[in-house]
Amino acid sequence: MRDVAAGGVLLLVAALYHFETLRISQSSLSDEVGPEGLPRLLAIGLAVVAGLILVRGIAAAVRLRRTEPAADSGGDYVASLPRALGFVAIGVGYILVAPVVGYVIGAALLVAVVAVYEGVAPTWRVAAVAAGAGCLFWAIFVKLLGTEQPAGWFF
Amino acid sequence: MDDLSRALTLLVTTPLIPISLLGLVWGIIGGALPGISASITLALILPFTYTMDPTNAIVLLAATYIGAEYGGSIPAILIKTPGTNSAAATVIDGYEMNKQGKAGEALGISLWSGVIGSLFGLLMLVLLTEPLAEVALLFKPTSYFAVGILGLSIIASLASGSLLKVLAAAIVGLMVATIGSDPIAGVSRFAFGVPELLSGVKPIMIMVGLFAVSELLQQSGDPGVLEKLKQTVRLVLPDFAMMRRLFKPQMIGSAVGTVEGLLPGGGGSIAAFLSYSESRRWSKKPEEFGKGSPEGIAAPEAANNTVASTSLIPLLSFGIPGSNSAAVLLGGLLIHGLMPGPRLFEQNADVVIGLYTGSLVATLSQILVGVLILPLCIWLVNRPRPYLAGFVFLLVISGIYTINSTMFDVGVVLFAGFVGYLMRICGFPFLPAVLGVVLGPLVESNYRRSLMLSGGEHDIFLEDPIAVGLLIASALFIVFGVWRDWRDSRKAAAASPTS
Repeated sequence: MRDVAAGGVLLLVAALYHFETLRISQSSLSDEVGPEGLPRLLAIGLAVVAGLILVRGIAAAVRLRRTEPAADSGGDYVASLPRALGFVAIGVGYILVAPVVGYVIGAALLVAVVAVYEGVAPTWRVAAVAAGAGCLFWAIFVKLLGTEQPAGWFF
Repeated sequence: MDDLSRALTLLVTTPLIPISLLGLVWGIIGGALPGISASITLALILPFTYTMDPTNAIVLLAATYIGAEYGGSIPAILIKTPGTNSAAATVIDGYEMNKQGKAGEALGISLWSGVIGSLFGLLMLVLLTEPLAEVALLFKPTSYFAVGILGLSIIASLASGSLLKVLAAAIVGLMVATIGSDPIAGVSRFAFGVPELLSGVKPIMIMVGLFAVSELLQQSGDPGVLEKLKQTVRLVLPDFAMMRRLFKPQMIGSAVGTVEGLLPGGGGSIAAFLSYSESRRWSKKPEEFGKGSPEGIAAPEAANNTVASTSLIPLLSFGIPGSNSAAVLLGGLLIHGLMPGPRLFEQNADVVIGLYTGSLVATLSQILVGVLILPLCIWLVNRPRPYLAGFVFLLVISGIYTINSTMFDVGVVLFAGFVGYLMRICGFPFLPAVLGVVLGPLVESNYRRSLMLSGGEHDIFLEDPIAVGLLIASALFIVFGVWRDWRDSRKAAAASPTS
């Protein structure tokens, strides 16, 4: 089932990418191949490969269903997907929050939320570790290495 | 002699020694953390090299790679969990020695063999790289196009997984490389009106996303029940008699590591297992293998540490990274505008000499640093995984933000990480995608330049013997990949219960 899904998604990507190649403007500096030459080739190549993955996936799924009807429903992977999306959402949350509250608090919040999301009970210990992490990262990256980090209300 | 004096000058006038030590320490720590492979350890530190001097940046990355290969053996021996993929073979006898109360000895053997392997690999790197790079002096745009195609096809044929998935990953990587201004006319492509995309997606974003973020997503929800180490361990270096016993497996490991490092797609894991099996074959005590044999640790550790240096040979000579870690190192070179090949040796000789010198410093310092930071590594290995996940995620985000000081880049890395996660569960390898992103501009710009020179005639590729040779080699690699795919699917069909 995974191959069928992957083949389908890749076909969609190839179609969207090809659609975008049609919108590439021409330039007087263009050569024979042009800026759309390689992208067009890539879109066709991906469509062919995706099609083959899809066909192979369907054939394998049909074969499997005949022999083991309950096998490879893809349930495990579908079940793990929301967890991964949740983790990504924490990162998106940092993107939105850190420029407002600043690096130290943003970093501390990120460590605390990830730790709780990964199964640690939300206690004062988590808050202390997170606060320590925020200060440590700020000291290393902003003060010691001199790199730029989001500045908000605080640091 | 001149190179030696330049190396000494670099040692005295630049912070090469502290940078090497820093890279080594970070590499050992990163390698020691289960789930953080050598390539992830490199990817995590890569963004911080952006603002560094090119020589220091490359030395930091090379020393990190060397450290990670040793670091991976620490949890392999202590808690039966390899810190890096290439330390998987070390688990077999390393953990057995630990169970017999010889964890300190096992760590000492691993460290000593790693030093021998690194020194051997470094010698090969110095001896072989420049002569091979001289060949590239004869290259024209047609040859460079063919090198790019060869790089992609070698990985396509040797990377693990189905050939179709390898090809799909490589094409998607090439597609990502087309985002931004095109290399000849400067026309904007696939930027969707987003100003940040006009300059393209930097390979570093894809590498960090695919290697580091996808690993975090994969491990999310994993209870991470790792065995905890109760006792304290003191590292014990081998005595002279043991050193003599270990010499043969170390040489076998170094020889296998040299060959595997030279072959793109080989990598430390294959070298480690191959050298383990060869050492057992040539051992006077093969029956001890699997039951806590010191030789069973020496061979794979020498092999994977040799690969850390020899995988840089095809990278520096032709710009073809043979492994995930080498691909990240290539990213480090490109960040600083350094193109691998003969010009690197002519125009940026200090970078190359600095790389050799820094690697030597890191290798020789391994024993001292290994002894000193072992307690820290053991402490880190015992930390709860949820906190480690938070720290690693924060490190990724902080590092990426430093590149352009924009949250857009963080978003790109998160997106790449999620795509990487989907690739993992669907069995798509990362290396072809990374190579597509890295080699895409090289392939496209040289293809179009060649056609501009010939007035649109493809015959120009047939007039360049180097290009013809490389393209034939590419075709052979693809045919080999198709054959391997066909063979594997037949084997799988034969092994299925219905057949």
